[in-house]
Amino acid sequence: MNQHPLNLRVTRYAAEAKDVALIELRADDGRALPPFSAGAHLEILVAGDLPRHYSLLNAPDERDRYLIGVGLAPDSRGGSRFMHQQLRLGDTLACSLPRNHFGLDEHLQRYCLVAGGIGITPILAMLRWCQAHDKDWRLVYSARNRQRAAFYETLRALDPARVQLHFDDEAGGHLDTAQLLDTLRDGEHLYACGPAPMLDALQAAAGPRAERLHIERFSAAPASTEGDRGFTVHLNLSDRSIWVAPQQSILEALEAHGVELPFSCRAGICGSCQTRVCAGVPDHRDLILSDADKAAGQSLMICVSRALGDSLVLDL
Amino acid sequence: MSLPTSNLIAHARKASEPMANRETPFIYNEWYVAAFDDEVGRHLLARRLLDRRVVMYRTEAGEPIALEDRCAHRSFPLSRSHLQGDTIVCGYHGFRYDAAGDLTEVPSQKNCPRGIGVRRYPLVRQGPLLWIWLGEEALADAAQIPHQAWIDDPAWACTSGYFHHPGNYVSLHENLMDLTHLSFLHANTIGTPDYASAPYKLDLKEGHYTLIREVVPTTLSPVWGKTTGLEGCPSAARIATSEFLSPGLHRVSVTFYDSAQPLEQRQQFHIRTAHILTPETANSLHYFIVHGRDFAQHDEALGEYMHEQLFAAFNEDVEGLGALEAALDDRDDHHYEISVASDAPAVATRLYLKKRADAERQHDSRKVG
Repeated sequence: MNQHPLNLRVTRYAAEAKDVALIELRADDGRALPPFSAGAHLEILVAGDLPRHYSLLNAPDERDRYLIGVGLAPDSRGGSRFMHQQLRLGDTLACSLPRNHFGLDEHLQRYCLVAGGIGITPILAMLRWCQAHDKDWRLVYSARNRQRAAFYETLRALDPARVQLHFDDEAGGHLDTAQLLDTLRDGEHLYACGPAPMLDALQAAAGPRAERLHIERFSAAPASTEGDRGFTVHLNLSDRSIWVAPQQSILEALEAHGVELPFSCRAGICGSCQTRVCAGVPDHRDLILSDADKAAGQSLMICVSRALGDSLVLDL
Repeated sequence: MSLPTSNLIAHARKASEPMANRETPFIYNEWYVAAFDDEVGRHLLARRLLDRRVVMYRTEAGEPIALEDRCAHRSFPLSRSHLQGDTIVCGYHGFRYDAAGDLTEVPSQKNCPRGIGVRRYPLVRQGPLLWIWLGEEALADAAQIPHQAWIDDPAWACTSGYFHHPGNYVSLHENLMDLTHLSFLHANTIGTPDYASAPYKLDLKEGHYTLIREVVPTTLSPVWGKTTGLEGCPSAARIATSEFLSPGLHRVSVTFYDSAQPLEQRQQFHIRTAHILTPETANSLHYFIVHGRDFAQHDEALGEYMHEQLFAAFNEDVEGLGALEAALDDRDDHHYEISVASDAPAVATRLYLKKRADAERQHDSRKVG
């Protein structure tokens, strides 16, 4: 089965903000595109064969186009650099069907939408859905400065009582995520997308509110493991330290050192290899732990997940 | 709609690479069942085993013989020939082979060349089964046959059957290793809905993989309920042990009892099934089944009922896996498979089967029969 069956044409290409390109994609024959829900993304083959993920930012009830926003990453490994410097109006891109690992629970009372930088893209789709369904929503948008704030004009036109804009240069620092979490009201869930440090800070401060915190991590290439770093795992019970190389999973590294552990899928979907974490912050790559469990960081799937820092201590 | 990311698919494919599948070469250095003992008599029986053509017969003294089914002269099937005493007379030019597989006469010339023969395969009877060794001669050791003593034990009443199974043997091992399919593939026969979600324990040792599933309390399906007398009992227990014992043998043992009764007083009912898998080709296999019970041993009607019900269930496997085999025929380049937690022993079994197959090819075992 072809993973990228939609050949879509770039029908609009605009500079949305500094280092942010707004790209509109349509089917050549003008036919309706597969529907998506707020929070969804496309996997697009850029520069021919690099798979990259881009969130859909338009209202989910639009069936004739997909809108994506691409931030130019300073350390781009080819994805955003291609999209900013080589992609032209009229080009076609091979896209997957929309996928959603960051869907809104549509039955909530209140939505607190939090975006950092280019993370505004899925959040904007969520905001449009909330508006269309008359939900109680508010938006917190953090960017380095006004020039880099994508959709600044769009957001300024919204009800100022609902929109909090934070610019690092004007505020003299990053968004205070702990304080933000303290403002969470009864029945209000927080959906966040943005740079890793912002999301890490939200997870770290969540505590008992973790089950109302939903995040989607943006990295320049979430589908690729090229950017993976090596790190150390310390085995608490056997007092051993083992290096996990960038292209290696924790499970593989342990097996290479003669440690045999339960597994089945080796793909992060079955839970057989779930291992307790004694210390360190996991970088969850699995598809089975709940958002709350991921935020709590007390265990991880060693067949796919990694470490956010330099090391993890595992209960092995 | 969510489709797996290319990342997940890459992980799934990488996990599948070291696992045996229908393309994995056979493991020849193992004992497999060639036939039930009572299938081999004073006639020439042709059978394809692990893609080798084999002919079997019984000598006048009663010894079962297995030879390569190909005349050394012009490859005519020896099975299409004539059994005279203990000698095969080839149906083409009358070459004669004795029970050792040696050529003893060439009708068209006076002097028979010495030192010519066809391959003879060790064939050993254990209980009602004839086990054959198709691998390297020097490695054949009858002590390695995974003998099932219970089949011959008078404490067990046994019935047997055979299916010509239209699927590959790796898929059948998987089917037996993951009995959560009972709740679904066998919903109308031996499965109950609670089976799939019941807790289980694993014991994974190299070459011997075991899964024990305890379904307690449960109500037994009619075939077990009626035969054990536990029909309708809401506190019945069904403890099922699945064991991969060798590439040619899987054993399922089940214990039934009433869990409401105290341990010392409760009667335990045991059944066992030897699922004997002998590949025929890459996509078909000989499926011999021997099933036994250690209760109501002399109740023939009960035995027949149990046999009929069970074999209806086994037929569901044969049909289901035949459909699976056809689906596997249609795989394309984008094919992938994912495993879930209860696949762990099947995954371990498939890793082991591929390891054995790869090791054999590395040691360059003779494929010529």
